[in-house]
Amino acid sequence: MLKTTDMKSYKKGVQESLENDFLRKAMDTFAVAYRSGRKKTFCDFDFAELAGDIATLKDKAGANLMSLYEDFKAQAERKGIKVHLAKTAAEANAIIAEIGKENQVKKVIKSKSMTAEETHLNTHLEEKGFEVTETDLGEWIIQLRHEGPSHMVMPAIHLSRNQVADLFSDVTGTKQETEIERLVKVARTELRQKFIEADMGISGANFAIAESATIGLVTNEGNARLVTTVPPVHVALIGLEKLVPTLSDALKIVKILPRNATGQAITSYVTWITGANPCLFAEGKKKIMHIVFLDNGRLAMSEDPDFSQVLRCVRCGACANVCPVYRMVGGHTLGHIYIGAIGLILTYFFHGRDKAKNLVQNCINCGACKSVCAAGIDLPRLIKSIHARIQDNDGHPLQSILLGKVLKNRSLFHKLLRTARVAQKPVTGGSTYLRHLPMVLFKEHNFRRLPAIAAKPFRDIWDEIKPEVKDPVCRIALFSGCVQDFVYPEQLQAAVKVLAKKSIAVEFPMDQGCCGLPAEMMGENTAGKEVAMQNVEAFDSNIDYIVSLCASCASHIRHAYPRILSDTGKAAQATAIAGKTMSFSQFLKDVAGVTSEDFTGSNTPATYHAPCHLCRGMGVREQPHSLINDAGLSFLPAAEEETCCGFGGTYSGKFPAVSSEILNKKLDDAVATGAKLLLTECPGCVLQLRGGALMQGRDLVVRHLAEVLAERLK
Amino acid sequence: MSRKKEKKIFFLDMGMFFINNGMTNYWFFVVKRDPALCDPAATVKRAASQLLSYSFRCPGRLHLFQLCYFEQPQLRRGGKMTINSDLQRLFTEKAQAVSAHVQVVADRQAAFDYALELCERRRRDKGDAQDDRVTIAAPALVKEDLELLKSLCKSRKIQVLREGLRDNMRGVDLGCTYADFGIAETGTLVINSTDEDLRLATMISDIHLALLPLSRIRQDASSLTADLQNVMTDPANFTAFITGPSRTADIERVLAIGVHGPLELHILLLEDGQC
Repeated sequence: MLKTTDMKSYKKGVQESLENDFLRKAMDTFAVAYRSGRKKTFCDFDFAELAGDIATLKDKAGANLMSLYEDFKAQAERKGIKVHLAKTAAEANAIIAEIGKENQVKKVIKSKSMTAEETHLNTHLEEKGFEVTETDLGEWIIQLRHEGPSHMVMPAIHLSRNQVADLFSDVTGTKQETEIERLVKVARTELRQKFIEADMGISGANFAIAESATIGLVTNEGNARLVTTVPPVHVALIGLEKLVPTLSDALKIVKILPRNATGQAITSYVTWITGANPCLFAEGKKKIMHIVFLDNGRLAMSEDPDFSQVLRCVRCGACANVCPVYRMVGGHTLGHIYIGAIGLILTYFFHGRDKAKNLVQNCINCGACKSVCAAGIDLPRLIKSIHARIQDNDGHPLQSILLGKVLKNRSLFHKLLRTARVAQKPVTGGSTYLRHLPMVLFKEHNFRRLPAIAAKPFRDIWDEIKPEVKDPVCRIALFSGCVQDFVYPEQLQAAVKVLAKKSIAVEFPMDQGCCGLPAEMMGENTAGKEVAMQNVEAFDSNIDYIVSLCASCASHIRHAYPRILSDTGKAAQATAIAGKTMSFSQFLKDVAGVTSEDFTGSNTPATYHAPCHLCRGMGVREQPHSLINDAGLSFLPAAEEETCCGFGGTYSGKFPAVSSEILNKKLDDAVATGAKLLLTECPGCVLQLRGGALMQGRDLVVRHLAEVLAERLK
Repeated sequence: MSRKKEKKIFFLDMGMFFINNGMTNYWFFVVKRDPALCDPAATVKRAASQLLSYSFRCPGRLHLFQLCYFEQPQLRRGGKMTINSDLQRLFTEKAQAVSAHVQVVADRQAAFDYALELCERRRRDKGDAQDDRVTIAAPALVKEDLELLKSLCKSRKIQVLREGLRDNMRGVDLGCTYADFGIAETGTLVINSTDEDLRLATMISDIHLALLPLSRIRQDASSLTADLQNVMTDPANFTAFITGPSRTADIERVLAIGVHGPLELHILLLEDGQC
C-alpha cells in the first residue's frame, strides 16, 4: 500500500525496495521461473487465440453489465440468495457489516479477495467490532503483519521463510522452525480452529454466472471451500466486472487464468456454488447467503470508450510477473492495492488520482505486460493515457510542457540540439561522450556514460553520402528518429551502405522530426499528435516502404499513428504510412532478400539484445538472428534476450535507479554468453547498453546491427 | 506400497501375451482388431504397455482377459468393460503431474482393499499406542458399497462415518467418495458435493480417496458444459473441480502440499459399473 503521494518520497520507497536484497533475489527467481512455467503450460494452446476469446466475451459482458446483474439477481433470489449492489466501497463495507449485525456475527473468516482489499473491508469490519481472520496463507501472513498484498496471486511474495517463522512464533507463542512444510502445517492447525469458531464466511469470486446465479472460485489451498461451507452465513463480495452470461464463458476463463497466473494447468480447486446450499449448522439447515456486487466506478468505466477494456481483466497478475520494473521494486512500490500494470490503471479509478499520479510514471513502456495479458488489454497505452489525464487535471509540470513545445516545433528542436553540440564541449573534452558532467547535480544519472551530440547530424551529411542507385528494386524512405539523426548518424550511414548494395533507392525526407513517443511518455498528447501530423505530411506517398533503425519509432508509427490521427484529415494517410513502416532487419530479410552471400568476415562470437519495441512492438524476432548468422558471426543467444534493457526513453531520466538495475542484469546476461560483441537494433538500447558497459568497464562492445552488417559487406 | 510390484510383459505372438507381476501370470488374448489398423503389432504392444498400470483382480482362478483393439484400443473383460485408453492415459498423466496417486482397480473389493491399506499406513504414521483408531468418512457411498466397506473395516478398528462430519472438523483420516466425472486434459475430478457431509469429507479428510468410473472421463471441461449447466439449474448446488491435493506456494514460492484441504489425493479408476 502506498503511504505517500509526493514524488520525492515515492522515489525514496523505490530506492528502499531496490536495496532489499531478499526481495530482489526472490523477484529474480520468480521472473525466470514464471516465464518458463508459463511457456510450458501453454505449449499445446494458441495463447493469442485464447486471449482473443476472453477479450471478445468480456467486452460483450462489459457492455451489458447492468442487464447481466439483473439476470443474476432474478435467478439468485429465486434460489434463496439476497443480492446487493454497492455503488461505492464504503457502501459495500456497510452492507456487509449490517449482514453481520443482523446475524449476530462475532467472528468472521475470509478467503482471498482482491475486491475486499480494494474496499479495505477488514479495517471497516474491525472498526465495527468484528474479529476478522484471513485464511489464505499469504493473506493471513500479511494480515498479521498489517501489510497490504505485494502480488495479486501471491500476496506475501516479498517475505522470507525466516520472517514468516518469526511471525508464527509470535502468534503461537512457541518457537517455529523455518522449514516451509512445517510453517504451512502451523497455519493449517491454527486456522482450522478459526473455521470451527466462525459465524460468517466472506469470499470473493472469479465469476458470477448470470444464467444460473452461480459463483465460481479459483483457488489452491482449499480455504475458500471451508469459508463458503462451514459458517452458517456466507457473503460473497464481487466486482461487477466478474459477471459473465454463461458457464461456458467462465470455463473459457478457467482455461487461461491459472495457466497465466502461476503456470498451473488448473488450480487445485475450482468451486461452483449455486443457490443457498445445505448447511446443517444453520437454522432451517440452509445457508444464509448474500452476494454484494461492487460498482465503485466500474459502470462508468464500462461506458468509457478508451478504458472499458480494463474490465476485461481476470486478475491473473501476469502483467506484474513479466514487468521489469515490478521485478526490481516489488508490489508494495509498483501498486497501491492492485499490483503491476493493471494495478497502475485500477489505482487511478478505484483509489484516486493522488495515489496513481506517481505510479503511472513508473512504467518503462516495454510492452511485456501487453504481450502476456490474458485478455489482450493494451496496458502500456492506457497507463500513458492516465498519465496524460492526470496532467490535464493537475496541470502539466514545466519540463513536460517545455518538452512538448520543443518537440512540436521541429526547427526549434533541431536548433536546440545543434546548440547543445557547441555547449557540450566543456563536458565532452573532445570525446564522443559527456565526460565531465557535474556529477554533484546528476549523481543518480551517473550509471552510464551519456553520448555527446554528433559533430554533424545525419541530415547535414545526407547530401554528401546519398548513393546513386541505378535500376532500384524499390524505393524507401528512412525514418531516422532524433537519437540516430543527432547522436548516432554513423548507424544510419551504415544502413545506407547496406541498402545501396542491395539496389534499394533511399530517400531522407528533411521535414521529419521526432516520432512523438517521448511526448506521449511524458503525457503530452497534444504535442504527440502534432508531430505525428508533421511526419505523415513529410513522407511522400509514392515510396514503397518506410524503414527505421529505431524500433521505438517504427512501432510508434505502426501502432499509434492510425489511432492518434484517426479524428484528423490525415487518418487515411496515417494508416497507409503505418502499413508501410518496417524495421531495418525486417526489411533486409523480408523485402531486400539479404543472405549470407552478401557478407564476408571471421566468425567472431556475438550476442544480441532484442529491443522491446522490435520483438513485441513490431513482432520482429527471427530476422535479427538470421542477419547475425548471415553476416558470418557466431551467434550466442543471451538469457532473457527479450527483457527490457532499462532505457525506456524518458523513463531512465525519471527513475535512473531502476533503469540502472535493469541494465546491470542485462549486461550480466550478455557477458555470460562469452561474446564480446553485443548487437541490438535500436539507438536507445545502444545508448543505454554502451553507456553502461563503458561506465562499468565491461569487456563488451555494443553496436547497432547495421554497423556490423555494413562492415562485413562483400 | 506393496501393491507396486514389478510387472513384465511376455509376448507369445501378437495375438497372445501375458503379464507377470512376480506372482501371477495374467493372460491376454486379442479377440478383435480393427481391420483398418496399419500397424497391428505396434498397437498391441502399446495396449499391452498401458496394461502395466492396471491392478488386476480376477474372481476365478484363471486369469484370462480378452483384448479388443481398434483405433482407440479397448480392453474388455466379460463383455462389461470398455475403456477409452487415450483419455485414461491423459487423465492419469495429468493427475500424477499434480501429485495425485492414480491406479486402475478391477472392482469395489479392490478399491476398498486399497482404502484399507491407506488406513493401515495412516495408523502406522500416527504411531499412537493409546489410540490407534482410524476413521473413514464415506457419506455418499451407496448402500451395498457402504456395507462392503463396513464389513471389511469391522475387525480392523476402523470407524466408518456416514454423517455428522461437523463433529469431526479437526479432521478425519480418510474420506472415501465417488467422483462424477474426470477431466483428462487437467487430471481433474468433478464432484457434485451439494450434500454437506460429502462436501466436508472432501475438505477435512487428511487423505481423499475418490472412485472414478473409467467411462466417466471426458476430454476437457467444456465437454461437460451441458451436464454442469443441468445441475446448476437446481435450487442449490455445490460442484467442485478437484485437481490434486490442496497446495500453496505462498511462502517463498516453494510448493507445499496440504494446506487447508487433503494432504493426499488418491484416484481409483474403476473398470466396472457406474458411481
